[in-house]
Amino acid sequence: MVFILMLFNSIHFLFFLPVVFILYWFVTNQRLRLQNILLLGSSYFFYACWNWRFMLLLIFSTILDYFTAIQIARSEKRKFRLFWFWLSISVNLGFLGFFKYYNFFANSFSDFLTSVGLHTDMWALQVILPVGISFYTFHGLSYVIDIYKKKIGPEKNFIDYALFVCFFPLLVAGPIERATHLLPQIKSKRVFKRSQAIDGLRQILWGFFKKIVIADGCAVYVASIFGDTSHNLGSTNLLGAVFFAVQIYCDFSGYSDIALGVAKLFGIDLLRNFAFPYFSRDIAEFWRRWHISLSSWFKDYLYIPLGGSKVGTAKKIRNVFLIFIVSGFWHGANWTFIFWGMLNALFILPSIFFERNRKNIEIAGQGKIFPSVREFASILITFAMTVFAWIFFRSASMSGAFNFISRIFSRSLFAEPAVVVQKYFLLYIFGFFLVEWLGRTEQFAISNLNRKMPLIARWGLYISLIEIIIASSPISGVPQQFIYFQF
Amino acid sequence: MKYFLLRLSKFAFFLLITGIVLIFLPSTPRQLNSLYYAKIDKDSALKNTPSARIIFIGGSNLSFSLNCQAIRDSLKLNPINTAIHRGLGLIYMLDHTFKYIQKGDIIVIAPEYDQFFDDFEDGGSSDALLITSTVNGLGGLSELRIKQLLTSLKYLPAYGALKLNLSDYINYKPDSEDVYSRHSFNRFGDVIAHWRQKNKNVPPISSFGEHFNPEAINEMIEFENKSRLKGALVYFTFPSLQCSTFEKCKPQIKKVEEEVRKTDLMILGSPERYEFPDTLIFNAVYHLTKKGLDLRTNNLIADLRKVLK
Repeated sequence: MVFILMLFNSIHFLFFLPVVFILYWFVTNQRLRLQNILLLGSSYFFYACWNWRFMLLLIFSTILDYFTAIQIARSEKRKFRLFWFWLSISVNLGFLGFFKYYNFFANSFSDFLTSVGLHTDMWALQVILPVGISFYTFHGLSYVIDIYKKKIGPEKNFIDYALFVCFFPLLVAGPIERATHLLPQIKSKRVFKRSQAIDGLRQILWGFFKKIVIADGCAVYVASIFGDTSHNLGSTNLLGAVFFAVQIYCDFSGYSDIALGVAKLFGIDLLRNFAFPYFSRDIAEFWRRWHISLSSWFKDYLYIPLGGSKVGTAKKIRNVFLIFIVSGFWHGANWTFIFWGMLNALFILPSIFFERNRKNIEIAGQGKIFPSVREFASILITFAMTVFAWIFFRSASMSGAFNFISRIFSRSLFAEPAVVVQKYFLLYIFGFFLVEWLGRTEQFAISNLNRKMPLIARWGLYISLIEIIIASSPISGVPQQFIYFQF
Repeated sequence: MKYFLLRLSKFAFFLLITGIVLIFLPSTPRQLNSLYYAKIDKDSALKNTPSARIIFIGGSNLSFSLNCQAIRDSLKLNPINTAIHRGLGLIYMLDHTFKYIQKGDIIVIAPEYDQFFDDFEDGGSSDALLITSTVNGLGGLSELRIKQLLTSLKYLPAYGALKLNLSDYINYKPDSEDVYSRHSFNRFGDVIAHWRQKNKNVPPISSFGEHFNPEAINEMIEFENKSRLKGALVYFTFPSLQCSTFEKCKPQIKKVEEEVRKTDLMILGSPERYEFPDTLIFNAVYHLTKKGLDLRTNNLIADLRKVLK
């Protein structure tokens, strides 16, 4: 049962955030315990606004991991440690599997039975996906695995642990935090730092611009182009694919910017999730810059335990495919996501094979305004490869994706696209990427404005951004969902 | 912290001032051509059209689905179609038209069914009321009731920010095919820009709202009483509607009919009489193609003839 639509881009959040901020810094009188209780209560309220019933699932998952982690640390015998460890892992993955993948497996099994002549239609259930389950489950898993591997000790204070799992800025779409990074911040006294708060506000503003102006603007074209592909020209499909690449980046990194900015207002630094991925010069670099918290999670808890790249050729290939297929499957129960993962594995494999995957560590054009011709070409090729893979990610089915691609590679690619894109919108996109390029060495594109512009120009820019955001907001007041909420 | 909040307050103040300046800036070329600005022409018609007059009040079921020339030729009355957009809400339509009513006027109210559900009649469902009421300046807001003013204020930031929409200035050219422009109307107030355009295969809607709200009916009764005192006659009729939507929303339509028939309002026709096949629907469930609107007009003329004898 939904009773308030509490999204970062909803009017309710505009009231929620200042209230929590004022209570946090003024009413709790900067007492750590009270501040954490307030943040925990606010986080549960934030989640319950979406669906209070699923909050019970979140609380259950939190209690389970809190309790099993303590038991793992206490148990001296290996078999007991393994018991508590697998109890936590299997229950967490069980919930995730049921809510996220039940229908996928049920339908696939049903299709298989149909293919051998047995007809069933009793498998499908109307399972609603609890928002954020993929994210908070991964929080819990990383914590329990770290305890099991004795990298950290268990957190005894339930409030602090619960806040680590469900701190509201990261609760529904990450970044996926690590106990080693966030828990120490939760446990230490926070002092208000003006520079951190201003930086947070600036990041929130940039996040809103990305989401409401660019991502939601692209969404209109993407929905119509991917919605009915039967008569699309190749050029129209290409435009749709490029726009989707821009949309998903601005939507998700916009969300992450808002989450990081909001956390900064409470004196907490969250893990960086995006580092200008579309300026990458190869796919390996792209994956170091895209959804960093998830990529590093898979690297630390799956890829490296399997041997990473320090194994034989066959195992190396297996590991690369496994991590990308699991990553695709994490996004959703659909063959399109799995294929998207496999495609990325194929793209990245040569660089890993020839040990050139860490060739581009620094950002492109470091210390220069313009990239070299070689860098620019590499950026374009990498972008084209990601756009190609995104087609599978966005399509409803594999056949739909192949149909979409076949039209791109037809003669109609050279015809004028059947979609009229507003000139001002193209100007916004161009301006956006220009600002991102100029600010690519920072944490987020406009974080260095403080140092480069006089106050009046800076405020003028902020106000222009706010006005453009308001002008681009849906007139109905109903905000567009973030794409990653469905994962 | 104190310095931070002080700085934040200064910024908020600066932002507010900029917002206010934007609100008072002249409308953009695109806004000046929008259908809301047809209010200026319609007000002029209400002011200058001589007796004997027939005035139509409603939303786009009237603007898109009526042929006033045919009404003029058949009934020998001077028609004024005041309809712009149903999102204005019935209350504003009635309040605004009332001041122009003269002795001997015949008034036909044809509200869309939405006006009878939830709070639609207040005009808070879109920014249409805010824009239309201010086409001659922000003084137009004084025409609004308190509740309408409050529901409209939420659109004020977006209204101001629209002035920053670059596409409204860069290379803006009015489109002669645009059916939502000030220039889509004829001199009587009918939209005629779609008369040569084809049916757009409009999907039906399944509900007009959640809860029936008697407020629209009460407002019509009050309007009828006040207009009678001015010497005008008021009739109620049902809006044109797409057949498939009619089927899906039948219980809601019957509820409206039942409640209207309980009043002393003079009623023209029935909901079924103004239900049209999907092939005669233009681009929205209330909008008819030329063929459809001619049928609707003929039905309305026949219904009016019965009562005006």
